[in-house]
Amino acid sequence: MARGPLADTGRAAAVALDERAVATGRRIPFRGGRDDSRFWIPVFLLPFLVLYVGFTVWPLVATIVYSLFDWDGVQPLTQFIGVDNYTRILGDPLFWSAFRNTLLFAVLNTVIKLPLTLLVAVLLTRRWLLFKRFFRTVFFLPIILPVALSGLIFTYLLNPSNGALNTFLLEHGLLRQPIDLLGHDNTALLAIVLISVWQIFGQYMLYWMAALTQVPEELYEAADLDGANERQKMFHVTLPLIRPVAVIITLLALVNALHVFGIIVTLTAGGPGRATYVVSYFIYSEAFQNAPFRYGYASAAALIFAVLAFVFVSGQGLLARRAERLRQHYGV
Amino acid sequence: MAVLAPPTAALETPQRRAFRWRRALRLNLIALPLLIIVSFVWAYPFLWVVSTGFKTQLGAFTAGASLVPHPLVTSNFQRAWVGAAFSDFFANTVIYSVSTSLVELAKSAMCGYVLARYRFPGRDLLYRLIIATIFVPVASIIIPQFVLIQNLGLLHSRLGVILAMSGGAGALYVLLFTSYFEHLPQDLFDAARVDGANFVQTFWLVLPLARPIIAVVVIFQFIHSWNDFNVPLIFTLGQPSLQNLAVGLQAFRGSHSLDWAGFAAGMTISFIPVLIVFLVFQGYFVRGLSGAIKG
Amino acid sequence: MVSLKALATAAAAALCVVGCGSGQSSATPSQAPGAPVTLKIQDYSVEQTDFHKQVAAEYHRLNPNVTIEWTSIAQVQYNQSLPLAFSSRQAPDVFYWTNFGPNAMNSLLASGWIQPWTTDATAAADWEKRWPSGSFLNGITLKGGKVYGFPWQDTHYWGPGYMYMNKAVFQQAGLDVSKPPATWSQLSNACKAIKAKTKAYCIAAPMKDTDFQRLWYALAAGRMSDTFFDYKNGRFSLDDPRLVDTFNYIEGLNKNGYLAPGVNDKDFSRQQFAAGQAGIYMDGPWMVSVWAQLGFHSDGYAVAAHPMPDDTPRGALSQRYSQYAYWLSSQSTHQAEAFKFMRWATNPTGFFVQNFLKNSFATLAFADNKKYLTDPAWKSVFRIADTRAFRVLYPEPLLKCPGLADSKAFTMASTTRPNGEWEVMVQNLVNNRDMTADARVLVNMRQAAFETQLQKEQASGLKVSKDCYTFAGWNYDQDFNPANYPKS
Repeated sequence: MARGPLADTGRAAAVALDERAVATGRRIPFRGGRDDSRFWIPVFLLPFLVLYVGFTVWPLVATIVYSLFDWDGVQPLTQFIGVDNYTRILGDPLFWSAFRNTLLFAVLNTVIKLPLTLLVAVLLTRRWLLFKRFFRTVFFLPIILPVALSGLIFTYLLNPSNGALNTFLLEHGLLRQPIDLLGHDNTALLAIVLISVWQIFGQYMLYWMAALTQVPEELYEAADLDGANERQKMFHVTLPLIRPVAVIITLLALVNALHVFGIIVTLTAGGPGRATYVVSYFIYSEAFQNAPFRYGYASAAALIFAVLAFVFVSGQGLLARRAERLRQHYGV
Repeated sequence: MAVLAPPTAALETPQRRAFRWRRALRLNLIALPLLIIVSFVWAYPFLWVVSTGFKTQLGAFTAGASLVPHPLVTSNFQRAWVGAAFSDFFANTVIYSVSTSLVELAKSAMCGYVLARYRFPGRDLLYRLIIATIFVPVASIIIPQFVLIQNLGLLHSRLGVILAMSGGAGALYVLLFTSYFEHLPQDLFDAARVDGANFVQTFWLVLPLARPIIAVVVIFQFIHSWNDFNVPLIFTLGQPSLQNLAVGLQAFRGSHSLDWAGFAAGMTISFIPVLIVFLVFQGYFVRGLSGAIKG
Repeated sequence: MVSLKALATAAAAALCVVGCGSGQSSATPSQAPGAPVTLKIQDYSVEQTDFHKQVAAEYHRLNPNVTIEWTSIAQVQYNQSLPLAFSSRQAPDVFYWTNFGPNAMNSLLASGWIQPWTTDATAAADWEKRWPSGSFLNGITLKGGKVYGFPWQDTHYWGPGYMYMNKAVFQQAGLDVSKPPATWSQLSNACKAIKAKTKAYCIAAPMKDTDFQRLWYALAAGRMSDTFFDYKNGRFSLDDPRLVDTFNYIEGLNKNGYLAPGVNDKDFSRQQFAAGQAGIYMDGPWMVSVWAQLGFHSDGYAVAAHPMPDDTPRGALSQRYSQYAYWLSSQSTHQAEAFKFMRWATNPTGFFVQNFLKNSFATLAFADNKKYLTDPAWKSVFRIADTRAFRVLYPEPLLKCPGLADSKAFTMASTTRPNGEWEVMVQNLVNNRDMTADARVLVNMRQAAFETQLQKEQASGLKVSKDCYTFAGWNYDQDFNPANYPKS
């Protein structure tokens, strides 16, 4: 397979940075000089740890405890029911249907948003592009809208009765009948995926822009000198160098997509019927929508979901690593 | 092979510069029209909200795709600002957003720095624990958080709200900082050590290099806090003097109807500071570690 | 790794922190008269905020030592934050609560959230005279002779089942609003005319979340009932042939394109109607004030009763003993002042009533609504609701078996999958399918949970059974005679 002029440059750059990574303090304890790190390390860790233990770890432990009770969040915690909540959830077809929808949503959402946002981020950091600041702001705008508001807006915009989209398409003869995107099972989920990509675009664009700052300008100029075009620069300079951060960004993207909630509530309320039920909405509707709350039930569902999500994402990670190894093995 | 050697100034001939200009022009001619069309479609819903703030309720409903208010009214803005006591909510929101951004920044930068560059007992465990807790949905752990704040006696205070708002999702910021700090070249630290810098001085020296991550953390935490609704609601029960915009805007949701136009006007007012923060922090995304490696 | 001992300690700590936190203490005696008092009132009637300010100002003028702080937040958030307010001892003095219907008082007592409005029996008896006799029932508003709740909203006029017709659309379609469609087939014909002769849709029917109830209650009541529980036979009833028949009728309307497209929420559908994009909308009398806010007044629409099925069987809308709204919280230390305020507010001809009704917020159980609600739309509402068998008084299981005060069976069965009925119906409606199979699954789930719990409670000594929920001698379009409750 022919390799472009940049293959060497990119690879060499990656190797160079890897060598540097080897030499970082991460693998070697800091010694010599004024070693006051033994005092400062705990001090630096303290603020995060205090808040983390208080607001994440302890509530997590409490949630595990609550999940073993039938509790409405208000009365004293007295009704111990063991694993009843868990068996009920695991045996509930709506939970599994919600889980399927959630997985589908997460995969579609991530697969669409990550490459697109990377592309736009790369484009908006090119030296030759004019009005960069303006375009960056425009792509960033949707994220300023609270999710609740986005849902309301699109309810109006996508409406088959008089919504902007249908009005526009009908007037220009692209449609003969108005299309009800949110009224049909399949299109509803797809519409939500696209809307949520639109909504969160700015966030991942910024993440990629931050990642791209780790690619030194000089490499691109060297590539220019070697006569590489944009595509080659992307694949042989950019991608290899941002790979470590890209892994984290992908992880975050998947997990955030799995936790989708606000947009479902305001856009479809799990509908039509139950077609767009996702796990967070399941928890909300089962446990919080009507008094008395079923807080124990919600806790159990949240924990089950956390475990399932973890399994799913780790599975993806393992698959990716296996693919990478195969790739390297075959020198592709 | 000196692949990383920058092109020397000597090669910047007039012909090269001209070539670059022509190339830039060509690329812009292709990219700009495309971007402008995409931008308009992209920003359309946002523009729709702003224009709805200027419409009457029924006017907004019958407008279809049109962005032009017909008739044009400003009463919604008046209603939002005066009637909904916006100025108070505004002040609170600013306080919460700025404070939580600073708190999140400080704690994640410090923790990320230590996690990235030092080995200590429990380091790996802590890192894995942080990653694992990303999987827990935050919304379902709010009641224990409430109990904690209550037991600390902070329920009637802004401090309690700020703590609650910055206690939650710091994990991902720590991960970002950790990753970034991990990949800084060792030369920096060696140079600092040679100059006799202690722990804190080294940190202070290295921190500005993480400007892109700082920008990310500040922007996101600011926006998240600005729009955050659930946490401030639970922690400011029945205390309007402590509430922020997102909670206050719920005043437009009557039990039987939604004052859409007023809501849109209120949202438009609340967008402005967020936009300003973004515009200000945008500049930190300048590519390259220029200045970091002293040749 | 974390040791088991540490985990156990943490668990115990968690239990204690939470369990120990929701203590319930009785209210301390009120302060001396004349001392400055602040009364905190909370509810979710956000649209009444300006009115609340007026009330506070007026009451303060009359009672300078009392300041009223009346806050309203959106309903969903209110339901979440009120329990937390109680558990953190920040509860207001007076709060609004209508969950659990007729069982509200019992559940609030069980949570320890309320205290009686007054311990003075004479003052209470005197106050009760403002309501029609029989409004205060033991087990629903009274316990041990003390008044915990009182009817706030009237339940005769206030409820679903009215059909609003847009005059402009009807005129364009060649229809006469003074001769509204009275049967299902007439409704279909009217829709045919509207579809053919106008650009508007016939019926603006929301379907998002639980909003399908707007259309459903009106039509289902005509065939059987607007409740999902069959009080005649003591079972959940979505799969009852009568309700299935109603659903099929609506599905037929949808297939013919008579329902406005899109899975919309009620705000959207209401605006559709007000903007003349739909000819018919069905809902309750609150629409009068909602549309007034949109600038749409009763010169633009007319009100009629919902159409009835052409043939038997027929049913009616339900009227329940369940519109208790404001309660005095157990954490309040101003019982006397709060009761004084409430007595002032419930004066049938007083400031509060006059201005409340002037805004058309609701109809009140203690006021002469017809005197103050004079809008032509209201006149139609009163006329319609006073028609025989439009809305009938339903039997109340709690009055048949007082032991139900401690029963959780019905609540459990109906709050598992709380929106199940709406989800089943909308899912099948948008896909043009028959809902019987899905309905049966849901009903079986509810009924099984209901009966199992009842049996458990019966076994533990509670005097409850499914028979408490069965009123075989009653029919859906009849008022239930309260004399038929067993004497206790």
